Amino acid sequence: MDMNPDIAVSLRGITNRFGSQSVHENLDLDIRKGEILGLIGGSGTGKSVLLRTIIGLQRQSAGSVRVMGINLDKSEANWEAARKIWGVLFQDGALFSSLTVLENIQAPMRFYTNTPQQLMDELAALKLRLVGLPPEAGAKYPNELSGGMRKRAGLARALSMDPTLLFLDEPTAGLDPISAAGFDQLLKTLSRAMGLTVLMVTHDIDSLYAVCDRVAVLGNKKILAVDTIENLRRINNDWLKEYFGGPRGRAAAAGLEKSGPGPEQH
Amino acid sequence: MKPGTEIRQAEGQPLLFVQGDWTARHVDELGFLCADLFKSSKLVLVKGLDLREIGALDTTGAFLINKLRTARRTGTGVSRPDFLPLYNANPEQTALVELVTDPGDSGTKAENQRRSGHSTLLELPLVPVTRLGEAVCGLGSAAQERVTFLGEFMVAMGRNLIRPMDFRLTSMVYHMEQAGVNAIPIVCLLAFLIGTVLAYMTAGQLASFGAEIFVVKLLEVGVMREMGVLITAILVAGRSGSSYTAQIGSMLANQEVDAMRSMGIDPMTTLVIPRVLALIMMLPALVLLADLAGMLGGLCAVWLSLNITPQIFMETLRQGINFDNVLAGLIKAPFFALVIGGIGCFTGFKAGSSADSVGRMTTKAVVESIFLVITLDAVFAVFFSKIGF
Repeated sequence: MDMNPDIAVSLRGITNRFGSQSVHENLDLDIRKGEILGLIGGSGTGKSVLLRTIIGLQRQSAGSVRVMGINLDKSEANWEAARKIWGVLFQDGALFSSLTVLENIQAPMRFYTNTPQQLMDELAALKLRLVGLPPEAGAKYPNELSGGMRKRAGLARALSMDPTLLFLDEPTAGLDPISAAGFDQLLKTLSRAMGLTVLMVTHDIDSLYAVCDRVAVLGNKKILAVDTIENLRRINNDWLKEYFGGPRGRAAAAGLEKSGPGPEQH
Repeated sequence: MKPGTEIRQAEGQPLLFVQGDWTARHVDELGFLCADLFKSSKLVLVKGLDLREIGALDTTGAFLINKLRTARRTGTGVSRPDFLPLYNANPEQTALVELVTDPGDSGTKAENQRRSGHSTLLELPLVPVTRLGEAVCGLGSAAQERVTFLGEFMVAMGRNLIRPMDFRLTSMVYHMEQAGVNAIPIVCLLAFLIGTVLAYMTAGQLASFGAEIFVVKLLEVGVMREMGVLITAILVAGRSGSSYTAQIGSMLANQEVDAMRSMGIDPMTTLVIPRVLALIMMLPALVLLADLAGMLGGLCAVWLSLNITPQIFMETLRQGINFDNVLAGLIKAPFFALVIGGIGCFTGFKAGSSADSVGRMTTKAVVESIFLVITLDAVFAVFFSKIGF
């Protein structure tokens, strides 16, 4: 089974079962290279489970996952290759609490390479600057940072080995609107400049409008639709209508129209 | 593809051609490559960098390319206002290089901060002295903090007496089961073994005087007065004191304690009193069981080694027993329980929100409570002998 070279991640026939209850049933999804794909769905539709399936924290009951042409099956070598390709940002950053921010960013480098300390320091400082954190933040411990800064530090760690794929679990959850907008902007700039492919699980409708090229909708144990927000709003589905047509959805859409045409603008 | 560089004539001037993949994956090779270039004088001649032969590029590679562009300036001390120009870079590569270009010099700043936290080689011999000084100076405030906590505990107890409705009975019963009932098997087993060892060790010595029968008296004093209560207290400190610290520490990290305070629930009443009271009630009971198990152990040992039958053992015990010894052990138990529970809870409240600090505090709680238990035991021994108890 050869893969379309433009596809970064391809899920085929994914089934996830917990006991007798199944979360996903024969689910298919393709993520194109270079796009930012949002993943939405009601509570309990298995957004996080799907993310965990792709990165191997949760082995699927059936189906296959291919990441950049690598088949993620039982072969440990394949997994190892894939883990070097992606970076993951967990919900609250999941920073190692006993290490400083700089040491957190250096942790993957330390694990994968034999880079001299001075170069690691420089590279970590670079990553810190890329995610918009002040240099002073590098010497701090995660519990001394605010929620927004922890997310940025987590992103810096995810970008430590310059991944081509980025998985984000609710990157803007728990942030104030200004920080959230700043984080969206940062994501967009970085993914554009670094040529990243991003999969983003989110509840933040503003975030969807601001950064996502396409949005995948989870529901009924499957992907209901993958399309631009424009097209999704035209689909005749109760949940989607509620989602985009509800007060928050309308506000986000209105805000976008006020500020300029299309989700492409800065 | 392996990264590399080459200096060639192009565009009418010597250019550094950057080749291969300049990515984080090759960061080791790139580090060596750039270090070699910095060391050699080749870069001085170069008028620019050419990217037409480069493979993949990411921020790590772009960062190193930028370093090469400024190497002449920083390396030779000659002031050059600008970066060396880039030739034949496509828009994506230009964007990446721009992205990593540092407006200030934040890299060195962050590094300096990092260094400042570590002690230099010269200061190294002073570290133990400094630590000792800090520890001694901290003793006063450490004692004060613990006494304050004890005071707060007492005040909360008093408030509980006035308003008994606030008392967490369910929680206390739960902790009585966890710290008391569930500890019975291990406490009894250990006390049994200690009794056996004590009897075996002394039996041989006493037999050489023909005074075997005094093993019973020795067990009575040794097990009932000292070993029973000490072993139980040490076990409970390791079993329950540590878990109190870990529980409260992780609740603190999870902001559960903050949530309680915001609702007007006093953590002292909800968390500390049930735990400490549970220990105060259960430790004497455990000590009594430990005493029995220890005597049973001694009985088995002398039966096997000295042929003192259980009947003789019981008869000697019944005739000669001084109940003061049993009481002395039991009186100490609630005080030990207060120390173990109090230190366990107090240290839990001191924990920070990192996983590391909860672990450190748990260790600290166990060491400190065992230390205090043994110190207190010594004080009791002196006190009892003075009053002839």
